[in-house]
Amino acid sequence: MEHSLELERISKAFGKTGVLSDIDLAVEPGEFLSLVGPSGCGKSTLLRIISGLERQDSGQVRIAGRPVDVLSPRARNIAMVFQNYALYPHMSAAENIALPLMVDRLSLLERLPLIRHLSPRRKRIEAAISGEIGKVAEALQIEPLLARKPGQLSGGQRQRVALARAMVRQPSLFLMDEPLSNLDAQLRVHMRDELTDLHRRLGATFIYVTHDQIEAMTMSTRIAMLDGGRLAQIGSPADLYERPASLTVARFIGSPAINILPARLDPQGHVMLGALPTGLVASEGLAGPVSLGLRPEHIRLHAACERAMPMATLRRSEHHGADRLLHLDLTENRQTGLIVRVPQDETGQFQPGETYGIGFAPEKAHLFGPSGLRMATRTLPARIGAAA
Amino acid sequence: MTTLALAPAIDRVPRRARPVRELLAGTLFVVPATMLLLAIILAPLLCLLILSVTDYEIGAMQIRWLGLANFEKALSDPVFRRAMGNTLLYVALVLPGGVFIGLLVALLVHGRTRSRAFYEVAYFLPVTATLIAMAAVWQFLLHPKLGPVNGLLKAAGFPEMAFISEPSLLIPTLAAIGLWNLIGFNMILFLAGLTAIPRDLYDAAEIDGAGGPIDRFLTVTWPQLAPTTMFVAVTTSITAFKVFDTVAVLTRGRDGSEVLLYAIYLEGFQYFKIGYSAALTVIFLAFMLAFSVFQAFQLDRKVHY
Amino acid sequence: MKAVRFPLPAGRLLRFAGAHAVLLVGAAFMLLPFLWMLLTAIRAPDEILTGGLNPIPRSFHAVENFSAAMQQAPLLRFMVNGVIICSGILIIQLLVAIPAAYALAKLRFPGRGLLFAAVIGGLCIPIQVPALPIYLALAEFGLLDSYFAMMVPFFLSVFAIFLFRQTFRGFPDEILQAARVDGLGEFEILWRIVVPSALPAIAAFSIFSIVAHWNDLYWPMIVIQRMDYAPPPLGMLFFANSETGASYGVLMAGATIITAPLVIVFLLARRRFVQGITMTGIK
Repeated sequence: MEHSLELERISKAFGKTGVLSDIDLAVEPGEFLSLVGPSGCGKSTLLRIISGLERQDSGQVRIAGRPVDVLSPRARNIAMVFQNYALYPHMSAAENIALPLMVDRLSLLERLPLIRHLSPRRKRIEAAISGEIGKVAEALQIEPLLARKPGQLSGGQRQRVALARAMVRQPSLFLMDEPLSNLDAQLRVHMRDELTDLHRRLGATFIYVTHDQIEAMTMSTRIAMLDGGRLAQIGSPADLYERPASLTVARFIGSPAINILPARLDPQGHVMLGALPTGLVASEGLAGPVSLGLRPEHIRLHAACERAMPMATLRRSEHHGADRLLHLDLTENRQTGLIVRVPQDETGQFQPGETYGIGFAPEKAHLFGPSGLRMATRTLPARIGAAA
Repeated sequence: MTTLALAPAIDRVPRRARPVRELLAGTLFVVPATMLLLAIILAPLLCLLILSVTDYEIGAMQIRWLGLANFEKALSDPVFRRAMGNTLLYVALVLPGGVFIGLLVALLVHGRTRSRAFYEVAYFLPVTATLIAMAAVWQFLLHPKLGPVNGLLKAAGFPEMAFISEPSLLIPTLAAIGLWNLIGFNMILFLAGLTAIPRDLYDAAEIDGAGGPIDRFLTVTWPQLAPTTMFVAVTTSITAFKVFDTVAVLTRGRDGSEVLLYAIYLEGFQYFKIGYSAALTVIFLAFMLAFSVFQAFQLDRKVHY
Repeated sequence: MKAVRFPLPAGRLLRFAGAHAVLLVGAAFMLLPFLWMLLTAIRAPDEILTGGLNPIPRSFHAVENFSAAMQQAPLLRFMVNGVIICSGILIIQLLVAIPAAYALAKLRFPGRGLLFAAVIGGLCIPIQVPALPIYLALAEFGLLDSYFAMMVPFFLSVFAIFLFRQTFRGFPDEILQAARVDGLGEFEILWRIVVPSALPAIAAFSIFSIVAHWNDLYWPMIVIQRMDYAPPPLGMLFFANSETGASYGVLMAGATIITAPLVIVFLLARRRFVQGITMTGIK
């Protein structure tokens, strides 16, 4: 089966600033692929290149196996939902939704003011179009809103109208540029749900740009993370969370953010936290500074420690519903804060001001080299600092 | 008991402190403006209305009330009727020309990048120029014997045109100079309007297949510019109604170029028929107010989006 | 995989050329009077009379034409008059309008609604309407033929009040409250806090006001008979009449001198100028 979308070595620069370099990407039909990354990483530019609103400097875009580089957005059979919805303010919701179909089925003359009344087939086509609008509106439950103008709609309603305008042409590829970022927090969660649901019902391919890693994690089948115009990692949400390919990915995915501790490789490849071995061994790489990544839920605090462990002092404890987040300062290195996630019922034993030992399972730790890339590791049988 | 009696007083002091201060400052701040408003606008307006129903002339011994006789006289006076007709013709030429040429130039200039500054300067220069001096230049440009315009016409084999002496050509000539003077202003207003159109809408139009120049214009540009267009139309028509400078220099209001303001000027300040001139001014004001009301009405209709 | 590069499409090139063609023809029409004014101002009289379309003057006569223009009419005097009138009008307009606009925007006092309604109404009344009664009053008090007569109808700019009120309304109330808590009087709040934040609007209005009154002909024509009070446009009118077209070279030299100041200011401060006109035009 051919790919729904393929990008081959896409590069783009604005003037002298490179925005994207050598992006390769293949998306299967029916996927929900999120493009994530910090602002300025090039994700919106990439989406605009896929849509045809922007031309790449080099490389090729293929949609359903067909190169589309010379095609206009209209000929690419895609639809796009914009961050501010970009609804035409002087048209009613129904007119907004109808526009792509009108352009598609009526000639330019048949759309011009006054002259259009001369066309004998216009009435018939418009009737067919309004039937289709009705169906889309029903699917999105916006039928009562069709006569209103965008100015009379709430943010969530505008969002749905923008979706309807995208859906009505039945494109194979939906492009979405941070469509939820203008909604308030509660509505955003709700729309996340609706979008996932819509994706499942339509079976179409979604390319979804967001800077919000939670959106990407909760909705996507796969995530492509861009960093500085390059593809940092692509994989399922679990891949990115459990095996981040670089420090940037590790820091971007997950909330609260991953803890990054400065560590060292000794000449034998053992990962050392200060003077203490961690039980983690790098498969390759030179002796020198490295970074150790630990998710907050993978750290165990020990009150009484018989073995040598890195120590940290509890500064503050935050209530987060089912969990509690503990903020600690490393004794060895006071600049490095540490966040530990603990289930609510285990928190009673931890008191601010007390010092605790830091333990973790080495196989849950992530090791990053000086360049920020992930390093392959193995664990020693004798575990140091791990919970019994 | 004492505490109860004191409570309202304590309550009242902070609540009143600010309004008193505000009231004083506010009143003080608007005194000069209010006095000038009365002296320069309201009182003269009242005087004007009163004068317009009298036969007052400077130096006259007595004033008679004429009722609406001045207005009747004005509306039946062939010279003033010509002035009204000429002014309306002038507006009819300058209004659509000023709006559509201004829009066309703005649309073309908006797409330029490196040459934009040059075109902005070129088209805006006439706005800053003193019209009265430039009218003298136009007079020379259009001179039947010495001017380059007729020189060009003759070189191209056309007969020479008496732009500023042939009565039927006067208003079109004045309108052309009026357009020359205000197109740059309208262009700048339209450019500001164009800059304010969100890029997203053009992107959406392109995605929806309405990416061609005509579709873009009809789907996004024209509807988005509607408020600007309305504003430009109203300012242009008011400027056109006030045509005076070019008439004063080029034709001195002679046959074929009578316009409202020049008629008012002649009757009031040259012949000193104050009462009659006041009536003409009231008619002129009625035209302006009609347009202002029209503007308010139109703007009101645009508010809904 | 070899890189794909995209040339400029032919359609785009055609549109580019078409736009420039239209714009250049238009620009020529806009600039022709300026060009011809300058060329004629440096031509010899006989060459002007024999006419022709030759744009390049055969003999250079600039010094003679400009000095003749300066001798025939006190052009410098007109300019000085223009500066006096424009600055006088502007200063009083600002002094009157700024406090009033602030009061209308931020203070509560009796009659506020009425005053604002009067301001809005005043926007619809051009100077030509109250001209007659004001003229009669000035004549009555023997004030015609003076700078005061030329300036007085413009001391109040309802437009300035309206524009500044809109600007001041956007000023955050919290800052005003904070200043009041800090013990500043309303007058100090206005001049020390509100006015500096509204400088762009004030600059915009100033440009608008100067352009309008430097170029105004109607009112000076009514109240000024003596040439030594004439502002540039009226001076130009005297000048043009006195010449009766015999020497167009001198007339054009005079027109050049009269037109030059605003054009130069515009060319020097183009961005500000355009911004000012736009801001006052749109609001």
